[in-house]
Amino acid sequence: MTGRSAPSRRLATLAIAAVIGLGMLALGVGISPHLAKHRIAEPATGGFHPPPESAIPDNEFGRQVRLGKAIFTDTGALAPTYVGNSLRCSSCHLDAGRLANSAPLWGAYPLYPAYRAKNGHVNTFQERLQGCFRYSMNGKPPPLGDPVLVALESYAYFLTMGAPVGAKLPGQGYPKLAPPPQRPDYARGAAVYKASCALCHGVDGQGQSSNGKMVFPPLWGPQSYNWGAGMSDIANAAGFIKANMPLSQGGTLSDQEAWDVATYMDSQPRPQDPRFTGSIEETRTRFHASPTSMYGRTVNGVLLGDGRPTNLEHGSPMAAEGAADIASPKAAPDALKQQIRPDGASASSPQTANDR
Amino acid sequence: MTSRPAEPHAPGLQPRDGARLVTDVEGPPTGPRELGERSKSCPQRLTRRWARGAGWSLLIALAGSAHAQENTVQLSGKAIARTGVIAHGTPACASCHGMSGEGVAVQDGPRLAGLDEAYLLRQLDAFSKQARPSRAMTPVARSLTAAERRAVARYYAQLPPPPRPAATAPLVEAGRALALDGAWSVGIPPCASCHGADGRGVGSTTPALSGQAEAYLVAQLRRYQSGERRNDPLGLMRGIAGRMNRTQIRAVAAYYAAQPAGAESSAGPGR
Repeated sequence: MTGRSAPSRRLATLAIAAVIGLGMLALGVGISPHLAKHRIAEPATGGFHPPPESAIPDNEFGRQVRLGKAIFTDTGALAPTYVGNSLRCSSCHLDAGRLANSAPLWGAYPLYPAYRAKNGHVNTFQERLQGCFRYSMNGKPPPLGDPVLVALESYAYFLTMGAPVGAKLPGQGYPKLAPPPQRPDYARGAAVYKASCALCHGVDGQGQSSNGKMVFPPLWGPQSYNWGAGMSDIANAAGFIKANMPLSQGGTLSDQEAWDVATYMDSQPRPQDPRFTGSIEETRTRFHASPTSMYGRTVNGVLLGDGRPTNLEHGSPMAAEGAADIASPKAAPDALKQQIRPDGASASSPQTANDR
Repeated sequence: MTSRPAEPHAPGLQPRDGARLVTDVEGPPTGPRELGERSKSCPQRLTRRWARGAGWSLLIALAGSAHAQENTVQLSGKAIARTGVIAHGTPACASCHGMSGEGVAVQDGPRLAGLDEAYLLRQLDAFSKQARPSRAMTPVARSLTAAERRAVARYYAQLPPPPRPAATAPLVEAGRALALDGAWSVGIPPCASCHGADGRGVGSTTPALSGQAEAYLVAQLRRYQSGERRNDPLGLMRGIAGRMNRTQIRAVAAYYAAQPAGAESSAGPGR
């Protein structure tokens, strides 16, 4: 390549330079390893682009859209009744639900109503949102039609405007990774975690906060998602991690590293599956009969799914019916009214999220 | 008249690439013809600003004879400020310094309104002679005749200074959007996702940004961008700063400089 490119540069015509440049790209020349390492995951090309924030109309619908975004990004503060951990919707749906390959709202909304094996019937989008609260937020589902769901659905609909209904868009969900070359391994995952994740999420996986506000989400333990959440499935977690982690360096871990570290993360104690039947074995058989779920397995002497994280300093042991035990500290509607400014920004209220 | 002593460079654009256009000048500036010749040999890989500069140079060359004679109709300082000098390819000063000379921070244009006339004139001369080299202002200053420089300096000197640095507000707003929402389409997550919603940092993991000096924040982002500073864990900041343009760097720096530093950060588990 070098021999060809030097004389061609002397020709100094843009066209030839472009041809050579394309040739170099085709041969993979000219990209330094340093740049490649920090390359972010390519967004799905030709994918759907949700409307910009500036397109939110200045009317009641627009107000609901803004409220929905505010709930999405500060969930515990604005929907405290229904949230049982310190996660936010935007902890796993990056860019406030806009980012491709991070389960964007515009990828999910056009696919409902849909039959879900998880509960064995056709779910509306609001019912799907209820599942997020029940499992990922380890809380309790808002009733259908609840202001929280109306706002979130409005936000999801807004982000989807212009997309075809019923179509699985590129960038929807998390990427499905091919099975790794080697069987996913807890110990290798621990090494990846220590090198690339512990900086922000903490050696103990409990995340970090600043002035009482969660900044880096807890990955396991009492303040994280429960055993019913999609993220507790290693395949889902590996796809999310591969595409998006470490934040701003998505695509830099190998598939093997993503599978390994997902295995490590999802082999830790976390709150009980709200569908718990009273028997871990039966719950595993009914809801976790998958090689990518560690529920009901014993790792490092800990039976996963007993609802008692034993390696945590923080928090009390979790009750078996975790979802039903969530106390409601504040009346949600009042909190919503007070904390949403007309421009949709949420007022800073460091205390509310953790007053439970 | 833009002051840009510490010009940052887009990744991949070495200072010397651009410097060729305006600094490879021996002795005092000569006529437009020489500018035109320089523009022919200028490197093809130019930033937009550079391309604009080259365009001006070309226009100056084309309009050279008229310019050299300096016998065109004398424009008023106000006309030059607001519409530029079309015959010379001079852009309106207002495009970077505001319609009232109040300055436009996102354009790097400082306030000119109410500054001393002789000072302004001296700066225009300095830009032209490279005593104060500037990518933006050197071509502009060189495109103006001596009479035009005097007129425009006089015009800005008599304008009332703006009541407050109005240009700061839009920059801070732009910075707020970037700090809290990020620019994911170009791979920039919100600063808040690691430095906290109030920018007070997280323990020893990320430093506080709120209340930090603006110039310091700009300098650090540029050092990450160039790779001069490389003590960031996982190379996170080198990666992110490398995707930021100069306006974004200035905007987030202005935003965080305007935020209250507040009480000391109390880090804890993520709850």
